[in-house]
Amino acid sequence: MINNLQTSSFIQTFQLLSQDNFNQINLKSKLLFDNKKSNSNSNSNSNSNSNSNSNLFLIPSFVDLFFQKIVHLLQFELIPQLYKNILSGKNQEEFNNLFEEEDFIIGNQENIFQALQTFSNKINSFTRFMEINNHIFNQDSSAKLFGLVHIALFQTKQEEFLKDLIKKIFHFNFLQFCSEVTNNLTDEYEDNEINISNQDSKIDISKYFKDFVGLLFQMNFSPFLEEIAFESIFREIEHIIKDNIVGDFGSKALPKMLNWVSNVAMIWFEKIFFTFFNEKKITINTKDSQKNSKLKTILFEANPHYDFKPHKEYFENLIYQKIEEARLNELFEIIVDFPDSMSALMDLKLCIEKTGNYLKVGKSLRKSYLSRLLHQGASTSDIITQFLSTIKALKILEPSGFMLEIVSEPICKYLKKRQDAISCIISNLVDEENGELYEELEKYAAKPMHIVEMQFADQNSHRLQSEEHQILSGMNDETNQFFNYDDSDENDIYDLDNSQAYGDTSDEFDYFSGQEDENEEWNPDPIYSSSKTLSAVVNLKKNIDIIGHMINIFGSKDPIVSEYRLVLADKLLANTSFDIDKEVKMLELLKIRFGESSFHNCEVMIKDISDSKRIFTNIQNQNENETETKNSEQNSNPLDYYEGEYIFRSHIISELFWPNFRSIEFQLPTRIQNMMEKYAKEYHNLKKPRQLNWKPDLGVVELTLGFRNSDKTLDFAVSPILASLIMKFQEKEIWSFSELKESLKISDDKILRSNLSFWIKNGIINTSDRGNSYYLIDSISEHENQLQNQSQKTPSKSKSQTNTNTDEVANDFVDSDDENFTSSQIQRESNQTEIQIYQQFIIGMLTNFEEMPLERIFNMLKMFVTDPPFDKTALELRDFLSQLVRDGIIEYSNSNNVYKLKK
Amino acid sequence: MSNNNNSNNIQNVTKRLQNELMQLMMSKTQGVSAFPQGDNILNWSATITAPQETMYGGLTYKLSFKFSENYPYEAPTVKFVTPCFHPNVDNSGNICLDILKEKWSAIYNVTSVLISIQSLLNDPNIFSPLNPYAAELWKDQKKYKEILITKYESTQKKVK
Repeated sequence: MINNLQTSSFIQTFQLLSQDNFNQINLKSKLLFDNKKSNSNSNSNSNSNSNSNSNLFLIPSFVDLFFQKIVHLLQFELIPQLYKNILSGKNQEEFNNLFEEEDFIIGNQENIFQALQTFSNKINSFTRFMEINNHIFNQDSSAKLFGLVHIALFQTKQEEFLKDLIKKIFHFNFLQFCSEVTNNLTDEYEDNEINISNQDSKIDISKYFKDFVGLLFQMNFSPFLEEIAFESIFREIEHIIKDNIVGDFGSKALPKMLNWVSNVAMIWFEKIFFTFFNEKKITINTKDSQKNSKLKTILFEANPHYDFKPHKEYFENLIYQKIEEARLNELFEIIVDFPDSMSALMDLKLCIEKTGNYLKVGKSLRKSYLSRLLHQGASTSDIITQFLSTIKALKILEPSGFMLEIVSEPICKYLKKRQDAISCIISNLVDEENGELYEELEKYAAKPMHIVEMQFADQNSHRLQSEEHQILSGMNDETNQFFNYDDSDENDIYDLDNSQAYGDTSDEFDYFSGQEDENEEWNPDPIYSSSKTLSAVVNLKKNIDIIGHMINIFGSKDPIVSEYRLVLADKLLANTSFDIDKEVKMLELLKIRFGESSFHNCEVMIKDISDSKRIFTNIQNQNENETETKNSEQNSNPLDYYEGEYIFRSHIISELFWPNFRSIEFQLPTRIQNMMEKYAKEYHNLKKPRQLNWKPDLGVVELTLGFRNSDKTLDFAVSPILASLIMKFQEKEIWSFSELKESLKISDDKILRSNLSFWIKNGIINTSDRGNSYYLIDSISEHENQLQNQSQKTPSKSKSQTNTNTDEVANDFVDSDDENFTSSQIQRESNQTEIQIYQQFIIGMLTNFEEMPLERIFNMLKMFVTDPPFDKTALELRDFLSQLVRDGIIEYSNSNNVYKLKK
Repeated sequence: MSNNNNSNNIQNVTKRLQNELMQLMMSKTQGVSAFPQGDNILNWSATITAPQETMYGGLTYKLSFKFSENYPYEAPTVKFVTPCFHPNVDNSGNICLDILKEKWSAIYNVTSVLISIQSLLNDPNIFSPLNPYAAELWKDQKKYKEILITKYESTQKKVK
């Protein structure tokens, strides 16, 4: 009976509650409980005498009922009402879409706020009810109430919607705040760096938002809010990085972002939570603090004087991580842009210093190089340029060279496979205008001499160590060998130096090392270098310069030196003015870096040219006297097509010291031949008993071609063979192929065809009769037509180049590549493949040792084939030897498993 | 100090000899060949085959080269390993050749030494002989050839 009655009266109470009639509730409940306590019969209760025991017994079920009712109310009335208010007549999807728009948020803020306010008020009324009746509701009840509210709010179907809503409002307000701060900043200061924490009062979060947050706090949402606030800031960080930092290598993002965290994000964060904290404090004071403390967030409990430092640190770490991630993803591009991307690189450097992800960054860069750079599509010069930038950039990123080792290893390996790598490096090295390696050379040369010496000494001692190591670990240790190349080289450099200087430098070590420190900052070995797999790499040389890295590609400086010799030979021979100042300077720079002895040949080559110049002037002086007397005869010669005298210079070279020349035999025009003979005679007179041995196919002829009936002339600088060819057309204007071949005494059809095609391309001659006869173009209009035709043909060039058997078709040799004319006069030895070298070595050793087992041949090759190093396995060698056996060069004896030469 | 110099020298000699080996291998010079004996690049074995239609035509001789650490500033020590009946070669294989002695120069190399010895075979200096009997006999080319062949074949048998 009592039970029923009480229940019904409570139901009434709830009904009243839900109708917002606070006074009534208070009154009712008061009545109810007064009634119980005083045992008076003021109400209609019949069993007023029920004992207190039974009352107490009933209280828990009353509390249960109370909460049951609340759950019911929340689920079916309050929360649907809340959503209805928020949505204000729209359906959810519509609302969500609209909510993306700024204006809508501003317009609806008040509405949402009010909806929440109403909701909150109702919850408050429950709380108040519980406070009043604190004799039945214990401390936990209040917590339970809020727990129920949370559950009801966020575990319904609309959970996401509400969370989303709050998130969006937070984010929107955060953005608003951000833009206000930045506007304010730019209004007042030009400089972003200025700390704005003093102007708290000036910028504030909007009133609505403040109330909104306050409301949520009142409902004890704080842990959830913190999460949402974090998320807002997090989202914004990602957003800023994505929009403003990615792709922008020109400015330092890290300080900007850190500044943003402390001056924008943290202030906003503090504003929200600090405001709340003050309010809460007041409420705590006024209310029973015991009760509320249970509801407070862990955050607040742990730290009543709220400290935002951990939050700030969290965000800062987050920024380091995020920027590192962003920069790492674009490290490849950063290096491409280097040194314009210096700022971005510095960002990454600071980040890595903070996170210590050296290995990760190194590996990731290595990976991106493998997939993006080291493939067929990339040109060798691009790879080298990137490699140079990589060296520079990684030295900045991590001066000890640990990362560089990780990254450079595959690049070096790959470049070694590229045949043109060496010539690309050389052309960079000798490029005075924008060669990066040339700059390095100059830098190196500009170093004070004693420091250079110091390095030699240092490298030398290093070599000794590694040499010992090598002996200990045996010759088969590949890694060791690999890294020793460089050492042996550097040692060479030292050797050229006065070897006595060595002792001196070691005495002066302390003094000089002090000076060197100023030049290059000393950095300790990175801790991560102790990782087992990489320790071998890291322990090796650290401070080799960029050129050192280039040497590293080939294992020794010899390929570089010999390639330079070829380039120098080309340059010297192409230079008709005997002007060698540039080359002399270049050679001096190289000598400083690579050591003098390596360039002995080159020195002789340069000396040859300067000698040639002297001889030329000598002979010319003699000639002048003669020509003065002969001049009149020459001009009167009617057969002379051309006016004036040829200027004939010769390069007199010491063949031993020059690279091999390609040689094509052909007949020079008699006129030129006469001059050569004359020159040779005079040389013989000057330098008895020496005689000149002509290489007629080398050299340069400067031609000026003119057209009949036109003043237009064309200038060419071509090889003698081309010049001889075109001069043939002075004799008669139409030649057949065989006539030309006969007349020029060129034995190889291909050479003649390719030379003819040069002139056809340049619109000087044309072909008719299906490529069997050639005629001279002598009108300017025809010449221009021809040029146009040729340029139209070029796109199909690559196609016909693949055809080797098309010599017969006239047009095809027009397309043959023009390298013959532009490129080197020097015969390159690169066509000697490794296989040939191995074969020669095997024959060589078998000649001297009669018979050898596989193992011994293998070891011998490994030991003595150094350029390029023998890098095959024993199995590969066995296959190769079997091939030689099949070719009948060697034979294999099964009885004792040895190979010997076939007799 | 001296240690360092030595090791520098060894390094240099090694490098030089490696280059020479490469040149020699790639040059394919007829009738001469040489190769390091193994672990030590300072000791080489060499083979000379005299050109056909000469006195020593078709005969093959083995030689040994020993390089000092001062190579190429000092001549290598070159000896015949296969006994060689020749006016300028003694019984222990020592060779009397000016470029291996007083006329040595750093511009010579293994190849040039081998070619010199190869030509010495058919063009002996009978006026300063190490083997006076051979020098005396040289005048009678036919008899010389007979003795040469017998001696050569006997050494070949010994080897086998």
